[in-house]
Amino acid sequence: MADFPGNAYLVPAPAFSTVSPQCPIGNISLKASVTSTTVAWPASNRAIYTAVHLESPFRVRKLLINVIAQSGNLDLGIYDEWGRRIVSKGSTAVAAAGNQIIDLTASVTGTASPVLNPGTYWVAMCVDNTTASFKTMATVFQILQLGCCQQQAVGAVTLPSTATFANPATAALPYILVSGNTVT
Amino acid sequence: MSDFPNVKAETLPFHWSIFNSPGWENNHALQTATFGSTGTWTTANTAVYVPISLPWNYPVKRMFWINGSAAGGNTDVGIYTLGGARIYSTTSTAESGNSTTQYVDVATPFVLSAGSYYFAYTHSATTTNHVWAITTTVPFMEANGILAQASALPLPATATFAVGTTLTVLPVFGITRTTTGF
Repeated sequence: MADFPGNAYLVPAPAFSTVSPQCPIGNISLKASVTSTTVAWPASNRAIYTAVHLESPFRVRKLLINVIAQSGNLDLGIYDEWGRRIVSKGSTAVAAAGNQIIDLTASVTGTASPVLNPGTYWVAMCVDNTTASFKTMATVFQILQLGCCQQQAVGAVTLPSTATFANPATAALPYILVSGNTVT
Repeated sequence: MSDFPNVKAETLPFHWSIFNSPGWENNHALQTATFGSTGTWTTANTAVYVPISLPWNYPVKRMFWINGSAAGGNTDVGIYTLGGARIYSTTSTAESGNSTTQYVDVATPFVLSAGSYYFAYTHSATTTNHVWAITTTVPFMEANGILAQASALPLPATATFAVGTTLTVLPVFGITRTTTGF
């Protein structure tokens, strides 16, 4: 048994996000007073994958994003470190402006309400048009490349079963909250 | 029994860089400095030593830095003990790829034990736009224990630390547990 606990992510939290300590670069961007902004999805049917590192088991029940401008469809999901899909919602209409909650407890592809054991995962989002816009963290793409974000031209809004990673071409880090709560 | 935990590699961040240093974490003014942009190395062949702590044992597979918009010259990055003994360095390497992260494979990967170190960076030229860095000020660099050494390309086997009175840019560089990607 270790005398000292793990790193900064000591206390299992009911939720984490792409700007919390579980996503190091997102957290750094936040600390750098890089303010949140609104960004139209950069390319149709582009998936953006954001890495998170979990120190304790976490059951995923809901995802939350913030819609600024409604248009078309999206998909969100969770992948393991090697790009294998654990769960995704499937093509879903982008909601009206405001919080949009994606329920991963039912009607999903993959494992509903999956328990993520300690490790690295990718939180994925794909949108089928460039009119829809979302709350994001504006940063610089060189920073996103430092182990935080990857992208893929999927060719469809539905997230693939296996991700093919490429370095990001744009500098927006989508804000995605991952919640273990039954009600968000 | 180790005082520091051995955690699975897959729970560790992909990269560990100067963004994880006290100078970044604790210094609000440093954090709100220009958040990275292409720029110029302050003094040719001057090395900067950035104190960084590792909360866990970390497998080092590659080291990296970010090139400016007009990559050129040579860069050397490395890891030192707090006493100034070099643990590893990439040796002087020609920059390649504008505005991108450049990686150097560690020929014999090793595990860097949890603890405190200096991450070191040096560059051969003061040519505009060779480096991608955070612009800051001399007082904040010094206040956060960031040290320097002149005439340090390639990085020396033993560092001779000095207060870097000319340092106004902090390059973005670090280590990674990955062997490919990014």
